[in-house]
Amino acid sequence: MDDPRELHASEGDAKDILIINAFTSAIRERGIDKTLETDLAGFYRAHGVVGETLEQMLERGPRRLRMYRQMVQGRLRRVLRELLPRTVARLGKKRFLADFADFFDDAGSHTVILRQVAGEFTRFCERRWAEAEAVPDFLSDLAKHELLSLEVRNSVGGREPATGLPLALDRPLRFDGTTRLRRYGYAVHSLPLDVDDRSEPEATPSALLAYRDREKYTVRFIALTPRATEVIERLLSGSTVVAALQQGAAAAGETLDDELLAGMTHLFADLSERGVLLGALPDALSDAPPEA
Amino acid sequence: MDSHPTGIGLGLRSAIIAEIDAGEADGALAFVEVSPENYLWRGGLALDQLARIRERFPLLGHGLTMNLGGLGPFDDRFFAELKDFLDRHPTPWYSDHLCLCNNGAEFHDLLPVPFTRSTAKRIAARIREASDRLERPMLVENVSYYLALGEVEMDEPEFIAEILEQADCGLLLDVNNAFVNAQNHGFDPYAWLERIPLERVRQLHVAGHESWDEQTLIDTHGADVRDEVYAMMAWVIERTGPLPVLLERDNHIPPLAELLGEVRKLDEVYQQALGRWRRGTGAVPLEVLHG
Ligand SMILES: [Fe+2]
Repeated sequence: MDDPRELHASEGDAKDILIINAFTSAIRERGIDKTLETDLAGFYRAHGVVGETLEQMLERGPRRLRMYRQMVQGRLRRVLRELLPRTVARLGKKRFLADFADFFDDAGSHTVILRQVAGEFTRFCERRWAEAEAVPDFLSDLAKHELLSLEVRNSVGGREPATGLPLALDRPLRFDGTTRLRRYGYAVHSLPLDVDDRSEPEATPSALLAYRDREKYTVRFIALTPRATEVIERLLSGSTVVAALQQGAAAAGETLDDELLAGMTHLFADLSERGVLLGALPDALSDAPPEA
Repeated sequence: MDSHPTGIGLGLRSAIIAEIDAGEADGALAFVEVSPENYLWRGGLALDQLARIRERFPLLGHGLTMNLGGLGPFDDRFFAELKDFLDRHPTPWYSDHLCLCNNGAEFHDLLPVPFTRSTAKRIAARIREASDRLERPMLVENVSYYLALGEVEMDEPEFIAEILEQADCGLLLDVNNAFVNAQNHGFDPYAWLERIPLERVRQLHVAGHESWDEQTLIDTHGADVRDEVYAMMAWVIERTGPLPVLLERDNHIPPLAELLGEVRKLDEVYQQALGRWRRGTGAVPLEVLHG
């Protein structure tokens, strides 16, 4: 037979688990604020809390339980408002509260890094925003753009040394480790930064190259033409210059002529000057492409 | 744990990191406390500032998300990253809270745990595991709790003492949390302190708090430290001797100069308490204190 102390310990564990689960449900569950106030016993019983534990929890009442709920949820909403200020402002108070409540209950956060909650929330909302009549179509792009700033500002890497090798057609290129390319369906990068602004972006497909300034640490954006987007995207994923030019031009529906080559040469020179392009790689395998 | 700073330190926060980096706190702080979660999986300005700051101040590492009170297994990815950070930013120990942070999802907060024997046992085992994984001693911090969970089998001092004993680890004693709990749950904070095994205390936290409603104080680290909390810190130092004491400030952070004023005020009280400790223990001061 089991050691009675062990049996006691596992009973204790089971009780601990029940009360912890009830407590965290009270914090997370959507729309139960009122239930906690009006039917606390029902709430606890539904979570399997009974007997002496239930008696003691009922004695302590709903006030501090609701305080935890408000404290935890309020803090996360504050963080989202700080990290995605324009997206949250354009959602409006009511919609944001509802989106947050669903996110928190249905998905919840699965990172210990507070700033990453912004990406979790955006990914959770993307499809519902696309389907919702009341949410403008460009909102997902705006959220992605706000996330891009956050990502580049905090990105691991950056300030890698130049390779010392001039650009060569048969080689891939090294980019600064903070470089990211994003495509949007709307020109959300042209919207004013003011959170109270409600002007609408043009429905123009846009692509931005973002990187962190080596000296000032600020995030800088370069709007790319469609053909530059195709070429840079390929270079970022490790193609050689010649492959990126050929496939990029084809993907953009353009011919690889002198005019295109001159444009790309000009762009490469500009990116080199900004410290985004750091020269040719000695061989195709020596740098992994930056993470998306 | 042989070599560690003593005296008053500040937590590194984004609101003051630039000024500390610029040298404005040089000579004024015994140490800087760093929460790795603010730096993991991250690069850029904050990391470069931290690299310079660690050249000028001893660091103490203090976590927010280890989930020592949790039910599920530790996150391997997090521990690997944390260990790597601590290897690159050595600290004499690593501390985190006696609380729950995750139960199926992250709450990004310090939630209470039931004061039961089974919880104490589980937490103690997790502290040992964390210490093994990080390859350094762990300290655990008492938290502010606003609601006791489940059947109370033991009170908080007994719960803490049992965990420290079973895990054989040190205590990061937060005297503000003890004060806030005493107010919210109606007990005498000194009677509480009397039952804490002071020989296990390796570090102190002091902070300010605010009111949630007319019946509840809340540990926001958003206000100046109250006189009662100064007095509790002095009570402990008088009995333990020199320790690192952190002034926590996370909200409504005033300009650095103002915070350093509070650090000086705290240091005066600390030095007086140390004087009483020396007289009490017959210890001879190693150097003549100025002023
Ligand atoms: Fe603390």
